Amino acid sequence: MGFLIDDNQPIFLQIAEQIENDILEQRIDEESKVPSTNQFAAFYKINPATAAKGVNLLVDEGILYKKRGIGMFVTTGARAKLIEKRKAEFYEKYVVAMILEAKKLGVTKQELIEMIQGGEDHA
Amino acid sequence: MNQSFNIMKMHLRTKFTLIYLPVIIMLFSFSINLIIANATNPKEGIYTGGIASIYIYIMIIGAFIIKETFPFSIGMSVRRADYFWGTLYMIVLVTICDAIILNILNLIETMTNHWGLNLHFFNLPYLNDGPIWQQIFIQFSILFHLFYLGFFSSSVHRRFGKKGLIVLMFITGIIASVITLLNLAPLFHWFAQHTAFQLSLWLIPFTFFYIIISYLFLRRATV
Amino acid sequence: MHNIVEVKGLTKKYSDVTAVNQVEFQIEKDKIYGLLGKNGAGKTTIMQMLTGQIFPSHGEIKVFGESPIENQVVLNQICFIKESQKYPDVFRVIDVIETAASIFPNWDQEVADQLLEEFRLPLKKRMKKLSRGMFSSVGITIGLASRAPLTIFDEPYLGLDAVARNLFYNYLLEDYSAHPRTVILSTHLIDEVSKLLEHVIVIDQGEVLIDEETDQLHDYGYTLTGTKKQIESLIKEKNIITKSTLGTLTSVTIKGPLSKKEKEQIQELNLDLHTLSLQQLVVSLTSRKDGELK
Repeated sequence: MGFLIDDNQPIFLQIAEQIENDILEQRIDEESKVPSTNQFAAFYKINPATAAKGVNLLVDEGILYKKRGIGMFVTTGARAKLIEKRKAEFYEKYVVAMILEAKKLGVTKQELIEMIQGGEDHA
Repeated sequence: MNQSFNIMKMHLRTKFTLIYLPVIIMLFSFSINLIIANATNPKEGIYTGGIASIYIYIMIIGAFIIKETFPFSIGMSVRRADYFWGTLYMIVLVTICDAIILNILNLIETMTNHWGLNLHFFNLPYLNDGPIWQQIFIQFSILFHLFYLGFFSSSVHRRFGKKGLIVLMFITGIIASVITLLNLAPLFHWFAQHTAFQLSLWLIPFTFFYIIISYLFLRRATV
Repeated sequence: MHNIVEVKGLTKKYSDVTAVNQVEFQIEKDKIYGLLGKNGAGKTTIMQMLTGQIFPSHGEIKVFGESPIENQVVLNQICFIKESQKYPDVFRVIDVIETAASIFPNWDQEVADQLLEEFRLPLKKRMKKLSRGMFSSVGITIGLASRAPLTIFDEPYLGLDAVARNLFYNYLLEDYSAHPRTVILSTHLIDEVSKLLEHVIVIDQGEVLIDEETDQLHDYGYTLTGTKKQIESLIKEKNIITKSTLGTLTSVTIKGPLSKKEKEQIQELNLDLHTLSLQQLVVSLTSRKDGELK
């Protein structure tokens, strides 16, 4: 579970993102239980309603589902769904921006591909 | 649950100032008188007004009890009315106890032939005439009256602040001077015609007046 | 949603000042509210009127559907902890706690005992002789142990260090999660509590300036830093809260929200953009001379 809450994003979104990351990085498996709203609240020192808002966001997206009286669980296929979603975001947020910036600087397609390959070696 | 009962319990936490201290102060005054009587031993005996120490102290409690406990009670979500009634019940109990204690001491004083020193502290002529139940009532009505005299002036302060208190003193001053300007002989004559018990009955309407007015003031008082 | 407090046209005038002017708001059940604003803005006066401790000059207050004034049913459900609370001179900590225990119908002695121990409060010590911090801890203990359906804390932790304040936040969250109730928290340490608050009401000069869910306040204001020229083109149509310049560098605080397009524009220009924290927002809004935000 990641720490710190940064101020440039509403807290409930950060909570949702934390859970997403935990699912993506397989810290929480599919069909297993996620911490309760109150546990999130206690851990991050936030209002339980805010934590609930983050959790409910994922319920609406079909990432989590509720078992009455037991708690919230990760849906089967949630991880695949999240990867799809994040890929789309990744394209939007980084790839498009990168191409725009590259155009501005006159970087050619070939150069860009080489840069990516070089960067991969670093990572 | 009725909060006035809790207010009584709250007052009981100050038993030392509310219950013990008045008696202690009076007994202190008494022991000084005892020492003096023992030392001088005058033939005509000693008649002292030392018993007034408890009267005055009870009046002072009446004047300070609001400042001490009212803001706390209101802060604990208690209604002003419950504070008022709880305090009243407590004071009825305290002053009845004090009246009984005074009469027990009165009894001892008479039985010991005025402490063997002809010291009249608890047993005073006129004040202690009449049957025992009348004497208890006399003490009770004096103590109770004086408590509410103090309580009343303090409620004026609580409701109207310093200005209110000054106005009250001003009015009292005017009434007092008007009375002294009048011919007082008939008034003294009237007093003389009545027994202490009858006079103590006359205190009742005054006490009621203070109680009603201080109730009305406290109901509109803030913290 | 169920409102437990409804206030309309609430006004409190003293002989020469209007402390609270035509205030209107609602408070919903089982939420944690922040009542924020500068000292002297009228927060305490409002809370005192909510709890029937002082009387409004005009307007209407309903708490649990009724007027709180001399109302046993309503008062039994309220616990108001205020910084300026007075205690009888001879009362020791234990006297205060036991009296509170007898008065508040939902009192939980276990919570009280835990907090008394955590705060290391000397039970036999007189209230008068406590340090400021310990004095505050007694109030916090009463406020939490009372489990009142409406619990109000007015600057509850003067003199408390960060450790003790954290203890308070933790207990509040824990106990609130287990026993939901309505809490109103008034404090100047806004950053510390902002994550605990579900709803925020900001009072300035006796009036309601903001009445919003905390999440909604997220894009209420921004600071933007860059060269004067870059900034000026961007903020033409924005409501400027404050502005300061240092050489060619300009920093402005503007009222949000910003559209996606505007954010992209800012990113392209490589300007420094920050969301205002709740504390920054309240400070910048309430320190403006005209106090208006329209």
